[in-house]
Amino acid sequence: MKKKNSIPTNQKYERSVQEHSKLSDEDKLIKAHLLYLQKDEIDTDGAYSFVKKQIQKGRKVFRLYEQFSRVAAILILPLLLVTVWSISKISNRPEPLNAKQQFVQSVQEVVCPVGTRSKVQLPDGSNVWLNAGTTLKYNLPFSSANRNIELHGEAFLDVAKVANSEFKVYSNNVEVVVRGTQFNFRSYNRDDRVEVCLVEGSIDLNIGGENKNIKRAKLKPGDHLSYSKEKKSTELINENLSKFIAWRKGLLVFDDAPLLEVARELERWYGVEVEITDENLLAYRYTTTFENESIQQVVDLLELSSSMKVEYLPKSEIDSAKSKVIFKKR
Amino acid sequence: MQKIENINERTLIERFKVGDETAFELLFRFYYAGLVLYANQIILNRPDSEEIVQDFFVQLWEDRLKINSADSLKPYLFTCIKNRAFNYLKSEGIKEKVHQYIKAQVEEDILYDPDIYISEELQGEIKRAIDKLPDRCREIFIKSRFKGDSNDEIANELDISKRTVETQISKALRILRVELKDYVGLLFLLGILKNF
Repeated sequence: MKKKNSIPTNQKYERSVQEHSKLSDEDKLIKAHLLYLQKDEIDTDGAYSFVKKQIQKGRKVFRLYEQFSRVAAILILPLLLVTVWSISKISNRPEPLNAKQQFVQSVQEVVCPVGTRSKVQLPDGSNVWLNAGTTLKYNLPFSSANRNIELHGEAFLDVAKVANSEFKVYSNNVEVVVRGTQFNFRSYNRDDRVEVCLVEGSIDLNIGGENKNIKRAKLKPGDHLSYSKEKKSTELINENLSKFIAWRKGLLVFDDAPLLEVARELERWYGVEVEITDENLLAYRYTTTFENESIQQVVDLLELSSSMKVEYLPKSEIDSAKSKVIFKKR
Repeated sequence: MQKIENINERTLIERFKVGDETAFELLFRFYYAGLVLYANQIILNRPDSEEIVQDFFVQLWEDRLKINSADSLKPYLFTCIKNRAFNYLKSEGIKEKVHQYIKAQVEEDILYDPDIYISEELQGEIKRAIDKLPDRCREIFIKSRFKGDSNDEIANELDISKRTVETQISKALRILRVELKDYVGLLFLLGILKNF
């Protein structure tokens, strides 16, 4: 423990206990509320980065001790050779020709399974929030000369500014080039649309992949660009972006969304399987927002607000790996 | 079941146990501030409270395999921090008698219920109850209880008699007693159960 600024005395504690015993129940609840409001004053970010540093320090000691003393020298020589060999291999590698080829070296993969959301920090300090069913890959070493990411799914990226270094995200023939920005990138392999929206900073986009028909675009804050893989067409609007990034706050937003989109979103968000029994239902559109609702509640609400029958079958009841949601005609 | 960032806490605990740093971070962010305030209620020193909780989390990471699977880490975390806070008091040379007083207070008092520090629902209820007070009554009550002004100070500031201030405050307390009836009862019940 550090040296104290003020030395607590027995008196201090005695007085506190006395004052405390005088409080009525209501006053205690009020005090409880005041305490809770103080939460905002506490620097959780700072505390977490401190704890993380301590943990990493601890790990280094552990590694040195464990690996070097127990596993011993037999491993060190081959390890050293492999290291030297791989370093020389990396430095001899010719300059990559295009974006796609950059993704064939040694790759780090982060997977956020369906039904969950998570956050990762990249080695350059950039933060990435991953939506359900998303895979993110980047090659090692992740350095200022190489900040390239391949993304399948949806992510919100808060990219750290690094002098003279570009940060590139590549997915489904769309390449995003940024320096230090905040933006949302949505590109599920199953969906036709690839969507990029920019919250802060600026973005350069290269659409269309390797061929000569490459399209370029520059986004400014508030821009939402959507690219159809099938029609190879793009659409750019400038509007309130909150609905596109609401997923980060745990909100599931449908804004005039066709049933098929709702179905896919439910599959990812809750890790369920969705079945639509009648083709005529596909024309139905939903506009609604869910916050922290269970899948059962969501299903009940979807049924209430439409002319369909929506059924939820938990996996325990149907003896399958995934729970099921079925949309039927009434 | 407790959810953190929309993920079941049980799932997070499982992932944390196998070394998932994101799960650890989510748990840390969810509990840290509440635990610091809780420790501070015992040791009355904010910087040292923060240090106690940070040290604890570093050790929790190292000992993660020893954690039992559970729906929530809440009881475990608060018990550990309580023990650390008492060890701190011991190292500060607090007299045995005072130590016993504080211990009794922490065991019995509703203000040391972990839910006070974590439960959005309970806190929402309290806020709603305060919002329900008549305007004038709430203004005086907030000055008295939130800002810590004395009755004399409030009387002077609002240019009313001290007697009016007193009546308004007891009126506020009466309303809150009714509004929060369920919670006062519930928290007492929790307090009693804990002693068994």
